[in-house]
Amino acid sequence: MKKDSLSKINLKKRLWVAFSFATFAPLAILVYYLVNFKTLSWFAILVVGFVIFVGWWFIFNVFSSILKIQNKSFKTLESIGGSLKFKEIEIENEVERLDMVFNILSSKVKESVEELKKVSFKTEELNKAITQKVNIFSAILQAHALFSQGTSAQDILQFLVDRLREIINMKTIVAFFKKKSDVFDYFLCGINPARVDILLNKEDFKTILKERKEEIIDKAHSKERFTFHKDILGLKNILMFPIKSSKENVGVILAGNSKEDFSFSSEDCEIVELFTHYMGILWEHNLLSERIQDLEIYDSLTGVYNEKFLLERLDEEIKRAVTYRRPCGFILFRIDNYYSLQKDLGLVETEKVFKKIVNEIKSNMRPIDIIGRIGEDKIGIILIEKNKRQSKEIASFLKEKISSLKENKLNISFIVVETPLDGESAFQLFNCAQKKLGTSSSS
Amino acid sequence: MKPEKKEKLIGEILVEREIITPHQLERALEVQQKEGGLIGEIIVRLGFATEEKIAQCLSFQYGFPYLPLENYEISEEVLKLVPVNVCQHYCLIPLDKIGNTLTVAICDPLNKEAIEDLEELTSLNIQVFVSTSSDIRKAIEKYYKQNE
Repeated sequence: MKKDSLSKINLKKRLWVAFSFATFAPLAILVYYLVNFKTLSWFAILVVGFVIFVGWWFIFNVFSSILKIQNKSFKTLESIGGSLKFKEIEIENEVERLDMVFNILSSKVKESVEELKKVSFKTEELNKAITQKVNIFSAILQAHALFSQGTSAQDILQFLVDRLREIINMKTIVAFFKKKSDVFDYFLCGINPARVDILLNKEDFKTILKERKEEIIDKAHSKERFTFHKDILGLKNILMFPIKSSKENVGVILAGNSKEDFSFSSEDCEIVELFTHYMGILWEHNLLSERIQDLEIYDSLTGVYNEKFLLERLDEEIKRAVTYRRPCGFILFRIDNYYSLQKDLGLVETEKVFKKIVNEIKSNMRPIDIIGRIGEDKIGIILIEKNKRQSKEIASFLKEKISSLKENKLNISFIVVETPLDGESAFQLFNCAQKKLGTSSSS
Repeated sequence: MKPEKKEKLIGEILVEREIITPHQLERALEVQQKEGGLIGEIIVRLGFATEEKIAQCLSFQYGFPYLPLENYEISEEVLKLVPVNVCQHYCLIPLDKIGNTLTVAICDPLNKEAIEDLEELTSLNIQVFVSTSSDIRKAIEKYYKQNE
């Protein structure tokens, strides 16, 4: 392009030279001869003629250059497909033709710039969409990773709510999940939990939770069936979507902001739907895990009853004790240095020691008494029809037996409680034992 | 499930003392097996004997004095020694405290664990009187409600 430019061929300079040779120089020579010799010789006429010829030769060169540029421009125009428009206009004047070519070329350049702008805008949009999709998949992949690491479903759901808020750029996200008939668990982001508690008591919102269907309030969907989003949540636009498990709708997700003239895009809805689908599966998994936990009665490491079942049995035994006017004793043993043992020996070895203790207790207690593990470091024993004095005797005897084990590093504490002296339910009895054990380091 | 330290079961004593027949005892045991509960209460519920008869029988057998509670006055200080839930659980009521001895009325004087629990709770020696469960329940209702 540089070689075709006017500056390169020095057109202005050449024109000046040509003009000078064709006009000023012959005139100057003529004046010189007339002043000095008063007549014109053949030689002078020959010199003047030669100068004028050189001047015209320059002019011819200039115009040849212009014609060359015009031809090249026309070829360029032809190559970019603008010649049709040019051919339609009949122009004989070369300069005008050149002007026209330049005009067409500059309009072509303008069009191209516009086109380029449009393409870059579209690219930007596309990049945004790609980033959003990458964010969505990365969020889901992260959630998968958390799930495989054994993170609780509650934590993963909270993570998804946080990420959803970032991805669709909303002020508030709240995901409600049905726990029992009218009890809802929720995960929130960008709002005070106290407001959500108020919302859960609003009748119109309760209806929404019961219906569990899609609702949108924004610029495009202004038909408002309710006002809680403004009154309680302080949001102008909201999108509510049902959360589905494999069988049924298990909850509702609410996303909202306070932007003026805002409409939810179809992409927003798609993203929310995708997240709700994943959340629904997680919630279902959570409920199933809870159910499995409820059904489990044994501690997997020691094989004795777990805390939940032991306390259920304690409640049953207390009821029986009340019916037959008998006492019911409960011993709570604690390995005081359980966690330091874990540090020194490792989890597996500590659990082996724990199992040995459990076996020692089991082999020295009555078959009708019930033993279970409480938390990580405690053992509970229900002593049927034993009062406090008798329970204390048994506890001391068992402690002696435990202390006689080879594991001489063990520090054991115990507390004895009894129905009716310390409580009339498993909850009361257990709390009393925990409290007393908390205040005594070694019994 | 019956405590082994009881030399004889209430039912056997009642049959021995001809308060109920062996057949009635059998019937009462059947009901107990089906529905659960205390044998003395079942015998009373089935109408084979009265509460008073059973209490007097226990008193005679084991030498615990029988004490009807109808006209007995219990002081607030004595009531404070035993919480109401312990009284309801073991069907007993504290009556009096003289020196280091707490007198209680109980429907089952053979409930050694209950007596020991009272000793543990009050750090006093326990003197036992036998009374009927309905008398004790009425007294609990009357005195502990008064002091609520």
